Amino acid sequence: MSQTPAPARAPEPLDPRAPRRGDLWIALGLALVTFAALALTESSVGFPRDEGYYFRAGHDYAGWYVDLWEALKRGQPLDAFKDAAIVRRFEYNHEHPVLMKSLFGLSHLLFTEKLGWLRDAAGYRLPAWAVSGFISALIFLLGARLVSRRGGFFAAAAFWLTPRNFFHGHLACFDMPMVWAWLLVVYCYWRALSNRRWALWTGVAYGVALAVKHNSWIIPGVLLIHFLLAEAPKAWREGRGRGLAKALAPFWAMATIGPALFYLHWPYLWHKPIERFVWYANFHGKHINYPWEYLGTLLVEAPFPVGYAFVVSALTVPIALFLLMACGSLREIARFAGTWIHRPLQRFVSPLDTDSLLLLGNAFASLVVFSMPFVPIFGGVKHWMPAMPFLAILAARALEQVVGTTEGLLPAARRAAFPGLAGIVLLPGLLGLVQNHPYGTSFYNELAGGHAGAATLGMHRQYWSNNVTGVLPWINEHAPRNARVFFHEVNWDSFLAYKKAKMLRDDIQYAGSPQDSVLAAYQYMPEFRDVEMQIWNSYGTQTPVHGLYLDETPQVVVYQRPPRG
Amino acid sequence: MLSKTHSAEPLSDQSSPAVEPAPAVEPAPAVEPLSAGEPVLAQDPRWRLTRTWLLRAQAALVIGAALLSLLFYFCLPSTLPSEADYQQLAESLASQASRGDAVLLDPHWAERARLYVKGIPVLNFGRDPTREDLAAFHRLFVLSAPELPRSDREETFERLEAMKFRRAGEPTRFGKLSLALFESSAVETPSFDFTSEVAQARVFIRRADGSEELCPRSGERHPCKRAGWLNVGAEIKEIAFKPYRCLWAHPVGTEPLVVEYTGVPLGKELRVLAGIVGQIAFRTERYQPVTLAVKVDGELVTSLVVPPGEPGERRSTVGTERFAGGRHKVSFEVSTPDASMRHFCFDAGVYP
Repeated sequence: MSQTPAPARAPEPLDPRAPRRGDLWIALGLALVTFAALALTESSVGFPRDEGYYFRAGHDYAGWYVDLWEALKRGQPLDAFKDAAIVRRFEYNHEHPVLMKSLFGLSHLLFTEKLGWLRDAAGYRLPAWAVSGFISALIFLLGARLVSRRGGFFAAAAFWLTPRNFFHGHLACFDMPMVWAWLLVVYCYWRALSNRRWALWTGVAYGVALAVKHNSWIIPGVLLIHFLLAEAPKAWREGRGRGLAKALAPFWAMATIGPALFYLHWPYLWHKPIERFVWYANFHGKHINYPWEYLGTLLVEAPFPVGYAFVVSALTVPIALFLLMACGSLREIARFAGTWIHRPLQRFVSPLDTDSLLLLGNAFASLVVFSMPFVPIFGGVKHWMPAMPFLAILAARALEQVVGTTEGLLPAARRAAFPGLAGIVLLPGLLGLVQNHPYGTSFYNELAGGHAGAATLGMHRQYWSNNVTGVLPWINEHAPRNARVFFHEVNWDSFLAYKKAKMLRDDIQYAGSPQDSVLAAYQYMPEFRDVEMQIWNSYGTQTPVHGLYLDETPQVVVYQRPPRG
Repeated sequence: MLSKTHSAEPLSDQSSPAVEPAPAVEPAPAVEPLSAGEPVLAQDPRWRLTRTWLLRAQAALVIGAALLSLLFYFCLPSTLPSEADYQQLAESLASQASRGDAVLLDPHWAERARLYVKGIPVLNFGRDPTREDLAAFHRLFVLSAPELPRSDREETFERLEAMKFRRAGEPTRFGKLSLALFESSAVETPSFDFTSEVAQARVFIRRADGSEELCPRSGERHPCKRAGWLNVGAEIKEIAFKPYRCLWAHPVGTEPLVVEYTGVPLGKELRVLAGIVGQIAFRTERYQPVTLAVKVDGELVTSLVVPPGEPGERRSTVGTERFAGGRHKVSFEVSTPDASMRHFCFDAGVYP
């Protein structure tokens, strides 16, 4: 019998950084799984203060597109482009660019208002889940090339099984979109290192990043350092000035397409670009710091502790995963040192390759910036979350090393070694996530001792007020009709969102102070301790009636004004 | 050239093949290194052995941490007190407690107990209570959740013993909670409490020309006409996370806000406490110090200065034996160069 020869397989792509066969499908699958996981767990996640603002902003901005449509129908499209028409819709919350807020608003307009498919908040949040899905895809695509395919899987899972990351993935805010945008820029730049067509996409991606949040201002610096250390000498050797100019293509694109897209995406800048951009830049350049508890000290003003971001990460990323990140990072740092700082180290470590340098730079850029004593530290991990995908990939590399070691010890278990060890490393994150959800800002890892250990250490217990969802069912059940409730850190927009989401009774009213209320939901934060005492003074009691206690730590404490007499 | 496929140079060191993913399973990606080569000692058997042990140590560290993390999550539920534990403890406490007692929480933040413990003060003076904070109590019931992560009941006990409290017997267990009684033989309560007696005080602003602008009494408070926050009265206020019952006395500015008591029976000591309330105490930016001047019959006996950015209560003890036996006029004068955000509170007492 003669065998039919197998059809010739398509050749692997020549570009060493291009996805291999099937990788794009896997990436798409991961994106869909991530999207579904966030969508299915979203309804219990409360509305943080910022999200309330962005709901409102999204609604306003989507209104401009409705205005434009109406103006088009009237045959007077230019009406919508007048500054007054733009300011009317875009004046609110103009301290941030509008890409994500516009997407939030348009998604709400389509999926909630027009189609009625999603509840109110979910309509706004959907774009955030979509970009979160892209994060999984991008981590996998990078990881599959820089580590291994299974390493790419692991890195994507590791990113999401970090409970604080998972929490932020749900929200109609900018933090997870910034992770996505940063990753996208780096991915495009990385591809451009071996395929110059990607230089153009690097510029586009950077425009998107600028349109997401100002963290993007850091990215060119990181890439430039990488370029100067790794790519520029090679380009110079190969083509002198001309070679250098060609190799700089991603930067030319970022410098031109980026700002152009930024300007175009934000109608508020169209008529007064300089004046309004300067205001925007100044706003963030002079942003005050909100108080933040750190190892028993309330940090309110610079200088902040050097290394803050590293310590907080060590206490909030599941510790086994954190150690893998640390091992993976230390190895690359040693290679970096051997290559650039202390040549004799090359006796022990191999020279650093260009891709590892890129990983290392992006893994540490945000962490280093937020460890500077003069950089405001409020917001905790979300501000350096763009580092996490790169740290997850470095962790995947370290895991491969661990697997390699154990494979040598247990040859019989060779096939099971990677999934088994990956499972052991990721399972604590999953347990922490399940135990903590939906109170994402309260999560602390096993090293901290969970919620209780972190409280004893004096770490910031929560922020943003979304933990109030833990007491809303009690308030709905027990509040008198038309009760005025002091919700403390819950702002007006979030209060309205709870009502629209049917998480809060319609008749309950918003009280601006304890004195004006019959019920108070105090959210424990050290900087607000006096607010609880104001409630004690006003209500004449220090005995709460209900509370949200995570592993005994008070998060939200409900007081009720005793009846008179 | 950028578009070329680069020569196959693995990402990682190749000096120890055992630690790399098997090429048959996952071919190493082809990426160009900055410079070719491998560690100088790659082929050195001693270094290879050292490296193998280092990698094994890394594996042990990570796997060990992961297993301990799993253990943490499996054990955590068994460390947490139940509602029944709190209820049983509260019942026991209600049957033992009497006037002059208080409950001290351990760890200090474990305030879920407030839901259950009634009729007896529940104290949380943060992580650093002082002797003065606890001096008014004959007995302290230390309510501990000793099995919580990072809980350290023995340290709490030692701290109390260092503050002249004596442990009366072994702690009683209520499930995951414990209750330990501490007694003090050095109770100090004021014979005259200025905060409690604020209704009898005369409050006024002393203008630059020396005239007085009265803040007339209204119920238990003394509101001044100038602004809503100029409203002297007794409240529980937070000074560096500790709750104090004190007199809210927001300064006016350079014109002193005066809280004046007449006919005060002075004794051995006059003790004063003062501080800036709330988080603003931690900020230095553009804020000014507040001065509290204490006068007896017009004579300055002490003054406390509370500077910006230095949170925490300030205390002063003045010997007043020379005034003992008679009744005197005691006045407290609060002033600052700039009253912006100077949320000020003070407390004072006469000790016999």
